[in-house]
Formats: sequence, structure tokens, C-alpha cells
Amino acid sequence: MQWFPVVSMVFDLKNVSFSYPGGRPGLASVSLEVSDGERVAILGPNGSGKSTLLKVMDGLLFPESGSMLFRGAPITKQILSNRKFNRSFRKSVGLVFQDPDVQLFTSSVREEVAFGPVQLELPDEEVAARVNNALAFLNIQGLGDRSPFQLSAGEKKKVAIASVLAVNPDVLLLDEPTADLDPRSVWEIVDVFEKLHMEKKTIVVSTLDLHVLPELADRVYVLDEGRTIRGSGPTKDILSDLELLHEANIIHMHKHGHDHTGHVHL
Amino acid sequence: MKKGISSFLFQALTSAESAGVSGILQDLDPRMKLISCLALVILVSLVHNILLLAGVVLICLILSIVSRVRLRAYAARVWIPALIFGGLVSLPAAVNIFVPGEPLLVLWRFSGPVVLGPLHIQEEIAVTHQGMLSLLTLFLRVAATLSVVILVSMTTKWQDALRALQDMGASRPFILMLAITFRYIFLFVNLIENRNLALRSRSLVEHKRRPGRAMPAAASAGALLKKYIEKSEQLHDAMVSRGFHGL
Repeated sequence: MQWFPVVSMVFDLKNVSFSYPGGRPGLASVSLEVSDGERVAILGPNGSGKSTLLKVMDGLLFPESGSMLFRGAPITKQILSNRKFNRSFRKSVGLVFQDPDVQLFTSSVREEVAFGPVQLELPDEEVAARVNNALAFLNIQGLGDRSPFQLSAGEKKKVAIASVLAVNPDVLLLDEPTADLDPRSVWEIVDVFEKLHMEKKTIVVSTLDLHVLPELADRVYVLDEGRTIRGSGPTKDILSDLELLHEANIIHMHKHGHDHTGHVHL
Repeated sequence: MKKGISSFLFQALTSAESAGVSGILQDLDPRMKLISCLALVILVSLVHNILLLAGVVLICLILSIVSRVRLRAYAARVWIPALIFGGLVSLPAAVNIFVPGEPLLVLWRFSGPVVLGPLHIQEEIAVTHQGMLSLLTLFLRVAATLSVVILVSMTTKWQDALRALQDMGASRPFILMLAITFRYIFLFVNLIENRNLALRSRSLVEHKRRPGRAMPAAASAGALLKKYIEKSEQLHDAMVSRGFHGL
């Protein structure tokens, strides 16, 4: 059964606010839109609510106020408690967590990648095919029989991405995919993004890495420390708006100079 | 390869090194090993024949040698727990204070019978023939059980063992829980290890009994619990995100 009509608007969030138990703020009146096949980045400093926003978009957290539509359908706790709807939503949207350790828990990489397809109750042959395809897509076929415990950070990240790709979602949410990785691993992940983009996947990525931002997204939403959207626009425009980036605490300005992105000389 | 407690624990629990080499037991089908292990453990718990128990221990030792298992690690895992749980714990059973019997070795002789509360001690305290027999049986039973289990665990990769359990009909939720538990033991040992190192790196003086030392330990335990809950929630979210809807 097709639950979601094919509409060009994938996500439509309107004034979404969220607080964690105990009153800790998560999001404050966030509005954003993501269209089919788009590559959108959520740019923001630490603690600005990037991970919370992605969890809301993945239907793991639910707004206290405001609304979230996925392909025109409202996503609420009540609606997601419908097993068939939930299944359809989970097939369509995949989230790669920032910390791959929370995602990898089985005894081998192959089983880890198979977890999603098995949850979809696919036949064994289909599960095996999806696992092989996902491992091949990430170029990590050699890790199949390894234990996730023995992998490097870059390998863990690739396995975490493969485990989501095996579900074959149309929409991928990635929480700081290049964080804590060495330069080679960062660019390998960027290459994976490029391949996903070629496959017309809709990609929403959270990051505070300005180096790779132009490679990851065509459009950017900037979250600030008030956990709300401070600005949005094409990546090039956002990167050239130093005042916006400074106000959102994404770059800092100081008098002595380093020739790195994120530092601006006065 | 990572160094530290977590790495040691990983090696100890998974026996990654010995299970990875080629050997007689390593090359056997894991399902066969698990079934044989279960059958031998049941057999060992039922027999009372000391020679048979000693035979199992000896065969396991020979198999460990031909399977190129690290003997030191194998012996430590078998004989230390066997000595503690099969030897020391049941040592009192060897003397006639608890188990009456035919004296084998007199340890102490009194002038007459002694009554100590509920204990009625005879004129002498002696190691008895019956006591020694039951001590030896218990000790060998523990040693034989451990020998079988440790030998199988040291020659079988963790993921192969889980797969074998699955092939043998163990339920998927059971295996999933086992895998998650196993994985998270290492994650949290690693966390504790790093926390401990961070604490040590900020300790300027070594005062084992300095006032307030208990405070960081208590705070650390609290923070660890919080982290544990947080990780568990994230793990659950990551599973739900991929379509998990309960075991």
C-alpha cells in the first residue's frame, strides 16, 4: 500500500518546538522545507539542536507545538503507532546517527547491515542482495565478516551508512557524517554523498564542517544557539554571509589570523 | 589493536586470537561444537566417577594443545576458578567437622568431645576418606565443565557461535539481546577506562586516602549511569529508525 503520495515537497516543518524532559530546550519554532532530490544542510554550532531536528524529521521525537508533514502527511506519535504507516515511513526515511557506536550492535558487519531489511520482513535472498549491494556501494565488502568492535571510526561510519542504505530509503538524514574522521575518510564519505545524489536521493545532513559543506549540500539552513533558524539560502550565499555565520557562532573573528575556514581576520 | 582493559576483555571473552588460528577444533562446525559442549556439560554434571571426570579434563588439555590454544590463558581460565569454586569453597567438606567419615589424616586431637554451638566435634579433627572423595569429585567436576566450555569458547569466534545458535533454532530476539549485551559490555568498559584515564590525567598528587576521593568516584558512577541510559535510548532510536518495532 502506498501511504505517501508522490509530491515534490518531502518535508514541511512549520514552527516546530521541542523540549526534552526536565524542560531542556531542543528546538524553538523551527520551520523548513525540503523538496524531492534536494541536498540540504542543517548548519549550526554545538548544542543548536541539529540532532534533535533530524530526530524529529525521522519521527523519533515529536514536536510539542507546530507541525511536520512528510510528503503531505502529518507525522505524529499517534499516526506512527499504526504499524503499516510506520513501516512505510521507515522504508522511506533513514537516519544515520552521529555516533556509529549506538547504531552498530550485532556481532558482524553483515548482520548489522541486514538488520533493517530483516525488520522489513524481506525474503532471505532479498536481504542478502541488499546487504551485498550496500556493502559494495560503500566499497566495504571486505568488512562483512568483521566485528563492528574492531573497526576504525571511518569504517564504522561507512557501516552505519550501509546499514541505513540497505533499507533503500528515498530520504537520508545524516547527523554530522564527517565528524571525527580523518581527511581521507571525510572525502570518501563525500564521494558516497555524490553517488547518492546521482541516485536522486533526498539528503538532509547536519554539519558544522564548513570545509565540506559545498560538497554536501546545495541549500543550507542555519540554526543558532537559540535553537531556531537564523537564516537559509543557497550554500554559496550562506558561506559568503560572514555576519550570519558569526552571529550563529559558526565562525569566530579574531585579530591574529589563521588561513583556515572558520577564522576571519578583522 | 587497541590497548587497555576493554581490549583485554575483548580478547578474554572472544578469544579472538586463538579462535582465529587454524586448528582441529577451530576448523570444526560451530554447531557441532556447541552441541558437543552441551552434551559433555550434562554428562559431567551427572557422573560421579573420578576417573571419567579426570579423563574429560585430560582430553580437553590435549585438544587445547593440538588446537594451538594459548595454554597459559587456557589454564588460567580453567584452573583458577576451579581451585576457587571447586577447591577452596568445598575444602571444609574434607574434614570430619562437617562430613563424618573414616579418618585419613588427623589434624588435631582433643582430650574429649567438644561442643561449639551447633557443631559437635569429636575427639579429633581429621581429613576423611569420604570428604576427600567428595572434594575431589566436586573439584574435577568444576574443572571438567570449565575445560569443555572454555575450550569451545576459545576455539569459536563469537559471531560464529551466535550464527550457530541461530541455525540451531534459538529465537532471533534471544540472539539479538545476546549480541547487544555483548557489544555494550565493551562500549561501557571502554567508557569507564577512558573516564578513569581522564581522572588520572588530572590527578596531580597520588593520595590514595585523601579526603573527598570518594566524591569523584560517586560522581563518575552517576555520570556513567546517565551516559548508559542516554546510549540505551539512542540505541533504541537507531533500531526504531530502521523499522524495529519490538521483540
